[in-house]
Amino acid sequence: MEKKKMLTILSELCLLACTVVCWLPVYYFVISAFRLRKDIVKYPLKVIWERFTLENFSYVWKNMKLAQSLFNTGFITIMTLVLLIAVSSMAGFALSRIKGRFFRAYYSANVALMVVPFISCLLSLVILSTKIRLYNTLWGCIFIHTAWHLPFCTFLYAGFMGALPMELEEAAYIDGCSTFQVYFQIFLPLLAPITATCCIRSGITIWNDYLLSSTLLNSARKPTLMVGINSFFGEYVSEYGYAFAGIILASLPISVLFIFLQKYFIKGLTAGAVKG
Amino acid sequence: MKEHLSKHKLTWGQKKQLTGVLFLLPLSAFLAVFIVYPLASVIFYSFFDWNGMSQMNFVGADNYRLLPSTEGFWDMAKATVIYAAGVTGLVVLCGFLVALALDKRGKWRINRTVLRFFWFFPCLLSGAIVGIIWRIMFNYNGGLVNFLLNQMGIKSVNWLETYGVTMAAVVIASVWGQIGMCAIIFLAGLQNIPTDMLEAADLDGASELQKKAMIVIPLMAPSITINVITTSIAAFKAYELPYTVSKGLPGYSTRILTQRIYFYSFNTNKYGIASAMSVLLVVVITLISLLQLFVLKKREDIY
Amino acid sequence: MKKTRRLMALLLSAAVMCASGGCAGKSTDPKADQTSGAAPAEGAGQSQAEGGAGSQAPEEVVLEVQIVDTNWADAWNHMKESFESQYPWITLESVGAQQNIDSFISARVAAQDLPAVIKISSADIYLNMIDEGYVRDLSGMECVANVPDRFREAFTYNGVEYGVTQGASFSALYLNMEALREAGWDNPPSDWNQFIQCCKDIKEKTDYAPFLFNGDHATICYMVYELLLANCLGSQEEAAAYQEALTNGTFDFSAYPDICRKMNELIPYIMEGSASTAQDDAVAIMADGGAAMLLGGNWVSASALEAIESCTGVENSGLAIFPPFNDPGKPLWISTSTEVGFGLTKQDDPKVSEAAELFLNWVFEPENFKIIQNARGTVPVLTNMTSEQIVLPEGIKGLVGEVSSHNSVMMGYNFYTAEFKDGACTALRDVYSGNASIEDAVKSMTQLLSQYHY
Repeated sequence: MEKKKMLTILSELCLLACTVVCWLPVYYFVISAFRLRKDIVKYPLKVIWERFTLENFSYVWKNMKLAQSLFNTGFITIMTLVLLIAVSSMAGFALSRIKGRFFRAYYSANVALMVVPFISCLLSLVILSTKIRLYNTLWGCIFIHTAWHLPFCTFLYAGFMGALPMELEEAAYIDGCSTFQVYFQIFLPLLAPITATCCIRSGITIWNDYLLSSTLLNSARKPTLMVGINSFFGEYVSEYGYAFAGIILASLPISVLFIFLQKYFIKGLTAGAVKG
Repeated sequence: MKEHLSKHKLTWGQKKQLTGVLFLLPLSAFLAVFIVYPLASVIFYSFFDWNGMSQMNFVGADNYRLLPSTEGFWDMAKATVIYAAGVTGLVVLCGFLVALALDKRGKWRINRTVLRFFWFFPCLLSGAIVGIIWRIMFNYNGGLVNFLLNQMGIKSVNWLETYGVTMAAVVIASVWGQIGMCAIIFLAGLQNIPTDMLEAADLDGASELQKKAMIVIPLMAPSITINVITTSIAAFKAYELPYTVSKGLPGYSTRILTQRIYFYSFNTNKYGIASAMSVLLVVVITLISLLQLFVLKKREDIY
Repeated sequence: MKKTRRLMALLLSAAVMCASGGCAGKSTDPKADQTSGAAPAEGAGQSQAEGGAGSQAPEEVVLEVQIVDTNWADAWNHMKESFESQYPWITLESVGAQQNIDSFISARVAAQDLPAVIKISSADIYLNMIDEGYVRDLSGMECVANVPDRFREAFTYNGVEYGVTQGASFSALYLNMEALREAGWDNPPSDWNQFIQCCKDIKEKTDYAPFLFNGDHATICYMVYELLLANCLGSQEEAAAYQEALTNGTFDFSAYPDICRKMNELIPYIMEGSASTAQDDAVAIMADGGAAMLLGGNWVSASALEAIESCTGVENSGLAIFPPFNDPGKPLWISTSTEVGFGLTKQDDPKVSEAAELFLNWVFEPENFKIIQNARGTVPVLTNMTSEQIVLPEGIKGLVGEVSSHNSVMMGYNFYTAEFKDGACTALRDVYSGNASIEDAVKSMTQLLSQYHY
């Protein structure tokens, strides 16, 4: 028993060490956000309390249009999620609960679209969005994000609903419910876990999106967080503290959300994945 | 009478089908406009010589024929494969180990919720941000990594300018940013393993290692499949993270396909070549995921 | 075009002299001219502003300008304020300051959404834009009125005057004199052998790395090579032939074995990490006391010299010299260029066009242009700027007047296609970081050039 206890403690220590190594970069950028370059370079890991400074944050606050970018990013993320869930839950229902060759084929096509890499269509999306006047609008970003997250979310919804027992709707159909009613009254209330999955998986990616918003949105008029930080760090800025302070401010909302909702986050993340 | 009945029945079935189609309409609209059409136009553009401003000149398959002679094409192919293989292998392996470690609960152990948070946190950061952080840390002059090496008495390594080492740096950064997600999915799979199976193995006197090899890994096959496929597709699609870390240097050794697509679309305005490369990427990713699906599914069946 | 290029080097140096302290030597005549010239312009602007505000209350316009560089980003705020107070209905938005200019403008071209005022040079994308009619002709506008003809010619392509240059630039070597003194050098090195000896002494006797440059920046990455090349050319004719061959894509980089020899001598003294160092990073390394000499353009003079002073704590311990890459006894060659200019794009909205025009004219009034010039510490080309308006950092003052007395080649970024730029810099970075030999790099550059030129 004593030996087992020792082994347990040893393995825990090992795990702890790995965790510490894994968190070193996080620790480094968090403390560096409060320091000037000179200190960051000279004592990368030491905290010198006397030289703690909030200058980086005030600079970032002044120059990054933080409030506006926060609003834009938040708006894009939330609206995309709303659209995404509405569209993909409906489609997932149709694909999983209605039999027919057409639906099977559609399902396969949907899965096939999941592998299309976004960057290969970036150029034509920019050209397309100028043609249909969505360039430099938040809605353009929202629609494109929605479309590119749809195949995966539909896939998750279809998988989730496909696993629900058939009896669920049979009784309702016998009672004379229409397919619409079956969807709204019977299935919709059951979808909470998988909706959480979709929100979290897509939400993180959309919040963190750089590629689309940097090419589709005009960075001065419609700044978003990631573009803000990246152009902030850009090619030339050597004041690392600014970059780190920006990173902290941009990831703060999602991190705080994560800390409070960790249980749901992880449940949601895994709900869809295992089935898939 | 009979005819009437069958007709009525048919209409009910039809109605259901019709509702189904109706339900698919919004999805179809989105997919058609924002995925299928752009994809089709990329294929279309790839047969033209065009810079976005001038007239479009039809050049047939020239863009494809010229692809192998574009600067650093074969280096790019090599880099893409190494990067994808390295990231996928390491992420899945490390993710699995972390998940195994995090799965254990009991006395004398650290709170798992806290640890899970620590491991998952990097996944919340954007690829662009992870790239910036690691670029700063890998800096030869004043970077954290070299500082630590020096503290351990090892000479500084020029992380961003040495062949091979830079690829390792890029892979390390990518792995760091993705382990958490992978581990969480494995963790869910582990928690689904029925405990009685493990207990039975215990009674039979199986060692820890035997249990892992004989019970855990076979039962985890579906999780492994999904992790390998998603991670490798993500690795082929990755753009911001590898670019911000190394900018594709030294030479062409870390310039992966996505970076070349971006270069030809937005640095040289050679839309034809950029489109041909995009098509190449689509083909590569499709082939790879089909192959993996085939191989891994087959293995899953064996278990 | 080619003819213009061939003339450039000469013209530039002349203009530099005229624009800098040199103008003090001229009679007071032009000065009087300038003030009288500037006053009505300003008055006109104001009356326009007032008139506009009074009669029809001009609609608010947001003007996107892509002219700011990180090294004068702080001064931009001042500039923006003073412009907006004069033209209250125009709001300026600076874009693309921290991004790669080429990819920024390319993405905007794809989206057909160009900023109204852009940075412009003779790189191929801009020439394409001019060909397709995306860029406005500036001739006849106030902003070009006080720019010497030579510069206007350099910014003319197919009859379109597409930009106004922000100044003349040249390559410079910034020395931390305290570090040099520590290594036993009271005076800066004056030829190649001395320079190498100096590097050697610094490496052996001090903790500083001898030689640093920001190789992440394509212009600077090529500049190291370009300076070696320039000093191997030997005569004006050969320099002209080089420039022409570079434009035609026929230049053979491997024809000069001397460059390879010198490069091999230099490589051991290049600070490790130089090839991936960004401009601001390089300046910060000077401030950290990492290196003793920094190669850069004159556009970093203000920040580089300040960094050196903050490192040593000694006033005027930073000194700029022309990179002494010449063989002993031979004349010194440097590289010069017009700086990137500012141009106007065609806009659908006439209000924006008008505002852009107002802004560009306003920027090139001496009182306003001075904001950019002073922040960057560069040499302006405006003939109507007074010597009081031109503020240069102490360490570089001496050089500015001398630019004209040296032979020069055209700074390379002007010749590039994006592919050549990318490929050549990739090859050179490999040399600087010790991954490849200069001989191989030179071969691949020759091959690249023949494939990608105008």
